[in-house]
Amino acid sequence: MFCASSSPITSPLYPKAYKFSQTKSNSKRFSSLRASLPVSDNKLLKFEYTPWLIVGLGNPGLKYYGTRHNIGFEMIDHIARATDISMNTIQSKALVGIGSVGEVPILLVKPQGYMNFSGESVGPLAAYYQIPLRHILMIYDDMGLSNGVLRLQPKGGHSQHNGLKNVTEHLNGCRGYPRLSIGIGNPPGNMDMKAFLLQKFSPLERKQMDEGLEQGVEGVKTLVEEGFSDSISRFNLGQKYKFHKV
Amino acid sequence: MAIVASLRDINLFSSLPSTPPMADSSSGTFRPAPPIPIPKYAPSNRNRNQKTNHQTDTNPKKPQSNPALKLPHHRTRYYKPVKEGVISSDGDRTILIGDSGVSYQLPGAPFEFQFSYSETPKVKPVGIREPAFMPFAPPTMPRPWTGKAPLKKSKKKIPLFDSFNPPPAGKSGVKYVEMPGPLPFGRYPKEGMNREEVLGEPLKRWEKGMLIKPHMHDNRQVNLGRDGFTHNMLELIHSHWKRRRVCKVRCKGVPTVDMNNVCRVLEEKTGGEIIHRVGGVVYLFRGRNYNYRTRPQYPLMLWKPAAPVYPKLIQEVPEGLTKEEAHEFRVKGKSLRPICKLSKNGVYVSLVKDVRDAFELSSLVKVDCPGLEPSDYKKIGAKLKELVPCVLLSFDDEQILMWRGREWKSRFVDNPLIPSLSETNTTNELDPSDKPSEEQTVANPSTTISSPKMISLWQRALESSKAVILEELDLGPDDLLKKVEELEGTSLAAEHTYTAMVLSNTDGAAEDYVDEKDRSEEYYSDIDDDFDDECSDDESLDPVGPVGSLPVDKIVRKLRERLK
Repeated sequence: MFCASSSPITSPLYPKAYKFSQTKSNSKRFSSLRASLPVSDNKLLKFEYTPWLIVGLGNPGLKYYGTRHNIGFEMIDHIARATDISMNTIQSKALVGIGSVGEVPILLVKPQGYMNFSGESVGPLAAYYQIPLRHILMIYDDMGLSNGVLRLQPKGGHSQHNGLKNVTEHLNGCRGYPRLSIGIGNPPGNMDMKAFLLQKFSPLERKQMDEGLEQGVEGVKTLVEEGFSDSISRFNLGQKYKFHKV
Repeated sequence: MAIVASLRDINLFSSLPSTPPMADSSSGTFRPAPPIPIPKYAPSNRNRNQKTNHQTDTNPKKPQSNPALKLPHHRTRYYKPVKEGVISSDGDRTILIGDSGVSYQLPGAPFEFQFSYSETPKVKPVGIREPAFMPFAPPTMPRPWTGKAPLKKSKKKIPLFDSFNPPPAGKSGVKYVEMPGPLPFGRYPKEGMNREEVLGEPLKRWEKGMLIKPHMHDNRQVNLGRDGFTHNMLELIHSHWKRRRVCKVRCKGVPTVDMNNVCRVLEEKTGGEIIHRVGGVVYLFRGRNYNYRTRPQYPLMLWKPAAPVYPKLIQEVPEGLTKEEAHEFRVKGKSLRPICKLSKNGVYVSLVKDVRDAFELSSLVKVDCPGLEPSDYKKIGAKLKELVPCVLLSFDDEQILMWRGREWKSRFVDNPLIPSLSETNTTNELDPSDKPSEEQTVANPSTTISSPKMISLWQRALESSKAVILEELDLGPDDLLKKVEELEGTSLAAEHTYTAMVLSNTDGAAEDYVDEKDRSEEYYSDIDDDFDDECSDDESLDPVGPVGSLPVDKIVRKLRERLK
């Protein structure tokens, strides 16, 4: 794994690299000792950030397009549009797009197996691109939050979400990956939960959701660049009370 | 049938002597005659009932369901304005109004007695609702003259309960008395003169767990409600401590808004130590050297004194606002959405934090209290006013409407906070990853230079047919699903082909497989040698250009060798 590093932190690494290059140069040519310094500098300066895997859960097909349960797909579309990433690859039964936010490489994923088999795409992709568990961001719908309210959490349970259950199973039962919950509200009256999830949004809800998705893009960028910090707490606070204003 | 026949007979009989229209009119008049008075009386009764209900609802509001609120004070209109200081005194027993509201000073008492030690507002009362009368027993009560000499006292001596010498176990008619607290083997309790001595040395973690465990699923506890920690609960807690070392205190409703205050008052007045807190439940330890016989004994309060009159919580024109502004806020508050809904007898531990958080985003905040007593949510409003702090605007419709005030300042001062925190997080993130990056530097120096590592992995996936690039980017959902299924089908077909090859020639396949293994090993060793040579040469000649292009060249050479 590589992480961004400033020069004072990498200074302890410098002697080791110097020794390594010195040893090799001794075995081959003695005159190359002078040239090792700029090479080392160039190498050190090109360290790479740890990549992020951002997965939006949803059901594929036109039948489920635009439903409440597919809000994860819509969020991925918004992030791709905001960061100029083209989702042009199919890998491990998922639509994949490679890009970066600032200097941090990210991988946008839309699993094309159905919701209850989302883990079959997430697990192999995380393994192939060597992404740690704490850098896999799952975006899903949450009935515990009001419509349009977002919440970023470093870890949590499955929230009665079948997609999250399957993902957790395919990640060896670990639940320590961060989540972005997008609230879709509660079923009105005695409506069946499944029917509510596969419904489309009403005009008012659609408007609230679009605003929420725009705010979510900013939240995801902040998370990718700064990690879980005070900025994320501020974001969560703003989301919790965004409909309780005068 | 008989009844019908009889009716018919009557009709036939009546038609003969009189004319048909007369019969009809008479039968018509007779039939509706009995039900006439019923509809006349019923509506009038209902109207009267409604009126009486309306009157009762409007005027006195006496029929309240909660018996705790049925007090004679509601039927009197006694009001006496008071000022700070002594308002009544009887010898050395005084009733005074000080910083802690109405309090009673008795000779020899270690502190001023109050009705409630935790639910008294910080504001000084402006009036009292009953005459200032001490709610404790008088010091002496003269014996009325009975014409006889006083009776002889009983000669039997009743022993006092002593925790240091508890009655022996198994004795009939004697309840269990708990011995002094957890003491190490070989050590004995000693009388404590002050709180520190009674408590003894601090409890260890395992001792706390041992003491708390039997109380967790037990409802033998002291319940605190809207009046909070009252005076008579002092004696009640000592009674609990007589039988058990830990007294469980469960708070619900109004006191839970400020649990820190409740805990502070509990420790201060009882002398115990709080060893565990969960939400509204508090576990109060009596001390290692506690003796029930030598506990502090306070006189009991014989009745509940009337609550004094405090200044109004809702001002017509709150400070910092004009009348028009206040009215405008109240109008806006009508359509404001409440941040939470308080249930009756709930635990409102996070209410203060929620209100503070909500004030970060809106100058007005509303809390919904459906089903609560008006006095309860007014008390909650008073507590929020002190703790948040804020300005109360209205209690209409069982909702508390608050304004954050002009002097409000946000907790998030963005400029100095975020950079320092982000730096800390950055350093934390860097520390665990320094080692793996170092290892990779040593193992594969050329790999560190390739900042588009993800791109190389991506290209590798494409070349090995694990991934496919889409020609059209704006595919519909169904078309995309078909593409995914096609890719999966292709991979399955490839696997099928491989299986067929293995089955066709068993012996030949085995020999070829062994040969392939040897060749791959040789190929791998060759790659290593070339890799080392190339690295050294590149380092000596050009550090920038060739280094960046190494992976591509490597891949190209691999492909060429495979083709050969």
